[in-house]
Amino acid sequence: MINNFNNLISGGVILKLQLIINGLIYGIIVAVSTMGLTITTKILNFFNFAHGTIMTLCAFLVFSFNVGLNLPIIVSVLLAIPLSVIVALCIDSIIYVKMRKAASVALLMTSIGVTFAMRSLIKVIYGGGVKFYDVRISKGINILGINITSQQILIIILSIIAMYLVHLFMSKTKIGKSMRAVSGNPVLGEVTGINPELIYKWAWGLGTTLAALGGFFLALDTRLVPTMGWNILIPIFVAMVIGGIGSIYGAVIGGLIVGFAMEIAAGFIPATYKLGVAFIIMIVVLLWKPMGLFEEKK
Amino acid sequence: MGLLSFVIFFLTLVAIYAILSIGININWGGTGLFNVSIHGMMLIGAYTSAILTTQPTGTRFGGFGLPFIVGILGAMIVTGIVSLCLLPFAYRLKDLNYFALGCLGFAEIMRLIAVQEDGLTQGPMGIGMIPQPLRNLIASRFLYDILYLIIVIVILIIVYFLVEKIIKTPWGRVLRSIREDEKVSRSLGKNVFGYKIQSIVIASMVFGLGGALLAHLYTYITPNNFEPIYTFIIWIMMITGGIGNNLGMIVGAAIIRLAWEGTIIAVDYLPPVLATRMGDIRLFVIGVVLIIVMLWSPSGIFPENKRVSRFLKISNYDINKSANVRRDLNERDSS
Repeated sequence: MINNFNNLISGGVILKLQLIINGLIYGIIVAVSTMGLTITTKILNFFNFAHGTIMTLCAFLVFSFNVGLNLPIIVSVLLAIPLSVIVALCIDSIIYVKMRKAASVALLMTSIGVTFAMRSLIKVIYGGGVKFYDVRISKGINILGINITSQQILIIILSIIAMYLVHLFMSKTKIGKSMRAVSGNPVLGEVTGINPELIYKWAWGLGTTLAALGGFFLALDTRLVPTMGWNILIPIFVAMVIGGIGSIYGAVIGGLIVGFAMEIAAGFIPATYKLGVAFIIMIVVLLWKPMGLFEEKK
Repeated sequence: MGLLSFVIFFLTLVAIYAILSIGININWGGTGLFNVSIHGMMLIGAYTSAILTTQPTGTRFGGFGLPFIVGILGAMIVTGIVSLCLLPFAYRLKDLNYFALGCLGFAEIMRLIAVQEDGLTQGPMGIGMIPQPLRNLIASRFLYDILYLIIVIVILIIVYFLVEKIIKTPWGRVLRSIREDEKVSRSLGKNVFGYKIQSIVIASMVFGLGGALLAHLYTYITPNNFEPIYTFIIWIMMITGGIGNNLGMIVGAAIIRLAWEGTIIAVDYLPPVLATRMGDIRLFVIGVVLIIVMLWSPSGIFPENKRVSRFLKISNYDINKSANVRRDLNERDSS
């Protein structure tokens, strides 16, 4: 620890700035995935542990198209995201549709079953080794000694576009407004003629799209391993809880807080404890404001 | 001989997992606390017992060379004390899922500490050479495994009867009333928070005991033996066996372990490429079993025997019926 600290002093300001950039990238990836999770959690009313596995699934589907079939990365992503959504909707219509009225704990345990089954299938098919996409490794652009690759810039731009589109979808379209109505009060939503099944399908679709996008970004920025979704799942849950469940803006801010805190802490404490930092933030926030920092105003 | 020693190993694991499932049954089946910190508690128990019973080494803390019984009692005490860290969650977080996240966070931090703090736990290398009880009495490995199985079964029987006993006391009834409706028990003047803490501490002591028994069975532990997946496997055992029924815990542990080990037999029929990925196929089977149980039999194989009193002879059916009638009445009132 003292050694790390000395490094930081000798590296000076540059190293600190590099940590902030790392935190920004990680935070934005967490934020995009958290937006998806917060939508499914609020509307389907349970903590979906399979969210991380959907991220892994999409990342590996992109890998199949990109490396297996030699398609360009853009085409692979455009093929993989709808495919992940189809998988999620199939899981919904086979399993969750029978449990609409079940307790949230039962649904949570079922989603853990889905996680185990899907993650091990991915591992059986692709093997446990580390993989990379077939993209040009850019050397990175140096701004004042801070290293940022072109992929990372792409991730930031695409994430901001995705966030803006989700904001437009939730506030302008009829489906988005219905989703917010159902998440606020399901019975009232049903009374006003909103078909709940349709809303559930849309929630799965939107949530999975964002998860898939997040999974692809994560794999693009780091590498592909079958446990990647499970490892990022805990920061995502922390971000969702900090932001207040159901608020997409809270999800973005929660994601950025978690990302920054974890990456900046990595400069001061052993990297093993990065996850612990996320937890400590969550514990503090939960004990201080049990409904999250940005509880939705009625 | 090979098959027989495999069966003995299997039965030992079933007994240890049955103890752990009985532990979680106190929390979820008994009190309605969504506790997912099992792997953290097991880890504390296992490492405590290992540090207390191993011979002194220069490279890490302890190695006190104490007897087995001190090891497992120490594991239970330390786990019970550490579980008080969950106290603020039980006090502040009323929502089940939030409590679960807090517990998961606590358990993961415990695991990270075990990975990181070399001086205490030897980090990812783990602690080896954990002594087994009465090992020097029996030279044969095979006969000794049978003895250890007997020791574990004796402990399982003690835990089973103690837990059955306390669940049937007025104390246990208060716990179940908290599970059914916390506000009702509070309105009757019960200190709900106090009861929850007692439930958490007792269950955690059982987890610590189970972890210590695992450590003495494996004789070598690393933080990888205590991943979150074990928490969920124990939860699956509880749900399969029947929430709230301690006999069901033993059956649930046996069934899930059988599904786990059954994949070994399947290896012979698989192509060699897949045979190397055994661990993943096991997890796949476990996941599918969990989904099937949740879909078709959420109350498990042995549903809870909702006994009111030994003077009042009503069956489960009557209780469910009266609950339905009560719900109908409530709905009529509110509409």
